[in-house]
Amino acid sequence: MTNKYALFTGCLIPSRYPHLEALARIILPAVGIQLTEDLAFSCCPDPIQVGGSDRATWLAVAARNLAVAEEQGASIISLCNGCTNTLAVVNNQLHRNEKLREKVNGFLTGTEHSYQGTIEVKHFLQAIWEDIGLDNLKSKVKTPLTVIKAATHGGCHLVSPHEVMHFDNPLDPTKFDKLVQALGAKAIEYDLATKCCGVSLALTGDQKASLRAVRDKLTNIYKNGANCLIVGCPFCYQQFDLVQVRVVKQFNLPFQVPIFYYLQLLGIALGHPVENMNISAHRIRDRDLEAMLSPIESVIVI
Amino acid sequence: MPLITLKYSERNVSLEMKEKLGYCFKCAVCASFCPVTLFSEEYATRKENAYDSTYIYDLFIADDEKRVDIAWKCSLCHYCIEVCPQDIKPGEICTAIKEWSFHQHKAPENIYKLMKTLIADGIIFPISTMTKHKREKLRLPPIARPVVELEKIAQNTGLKSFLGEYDKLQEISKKLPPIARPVAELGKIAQDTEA
Repeated sequence: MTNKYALFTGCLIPSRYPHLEALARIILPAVGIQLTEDLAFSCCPDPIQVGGSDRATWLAVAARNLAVAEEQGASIISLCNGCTNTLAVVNNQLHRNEKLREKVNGFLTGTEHSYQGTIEVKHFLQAIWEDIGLDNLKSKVKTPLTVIKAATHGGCHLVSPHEVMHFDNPLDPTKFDKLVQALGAKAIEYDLATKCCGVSLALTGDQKASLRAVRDKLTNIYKNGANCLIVGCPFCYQQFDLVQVRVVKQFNLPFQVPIFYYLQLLGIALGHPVENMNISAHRIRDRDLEAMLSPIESVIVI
Repeated sequence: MPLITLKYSERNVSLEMKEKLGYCFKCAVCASFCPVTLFSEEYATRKENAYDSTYIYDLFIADDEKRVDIAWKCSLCHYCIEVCPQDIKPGEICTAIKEWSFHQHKAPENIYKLMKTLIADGIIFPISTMTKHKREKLRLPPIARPVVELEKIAQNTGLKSFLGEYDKLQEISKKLPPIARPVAELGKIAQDTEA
């Protein structure tokens, strides 16, 4: 098994949240994940809309992405649940179905790529869990995040379908909590932890349902005493940061829940300065919490 | 609790897409995990614990137009698939309906635009000047996508010609004159004939 990863940034991160891409390029190698040079990837493509429209094209474009990394002897590490899901599902289907593989490779004629079925796809949380390991991760922590009481939202496509994703139990996930606890933070349980962030409902025109999803989850998180929400997917990030602004206004919520992309917290725990974690790009912030995350600031507060 | 009772005409349409649907014993576990049922106003405000008040019930019994409309709400979160004791995979039925509707020119219009963007740009979100500026500031490489190869793939899968046909038909339907009928005169005739 190779331990060299090609970074798959997807569409949403490079176009709307480049600050997360910049962070991944620094923090993943810092925690011990070796990245290759950038490869010529396209959109994954998305499993809900493109995957629902034209299966042949969805399979072929994903197979091309897989082949591009495979040809370099690299695995794929993804920053997005949707990308991970498409690439892992297509990888699984083509790997076990020779006829389908031949057909899809036929669609790649003229691209100079051909999928062989020797590649592995991992979400970055899965790569940290499997390749770095909890104990090793704990040993790398220089600044334990003891002020963090985190609710985690892994997201649907990180864990389902279980038969393909293999990462965690979709109905009772625990690994994301453990990855947060490894950084010295407290993980807070909440009832709606496995429920969808609601972004897909907005994609298909049900804006109200999408807002209700954010409202219900945040209310549940807040009532359970978390002081922030941690995500590992840019779509969930968008829902709980950008869309939260609208939800707070529309439903007159008396609270806000700041969110972090896991790599931001990981960076701080590894000893990177808080101000280098691009948190200033967030719409919802808790500056007191940010100040407490910085060891120097903590001394001043005390 | 009322159980799902599929009308046979509609049931057959769904069965064609997914033969395993015939094994459904209407336990409603799928519905209790479905985010559309949970968050969509249409379903969340219906009476609780009734399977005929759920998204998945409607998905199975609705007529074509409604079925297509609701199938596109599915986020393929897979929870219905994870919990189904009969391994029916309702989420995959949504995907089958989506794909059928796409090729029947019945999918939402933005889906056709999305597919064109995928092939033309290799990225499904627009790259604004602000994004370019942000990326430069963060010292990130410019976004470059393999558009020539994607066009080749779209040719090979038939998507390119399909989208070309779709555009042509859209153009034709835009040029058609609006339907105007002499309703006032017809009303007069109806009055006269009654008299």
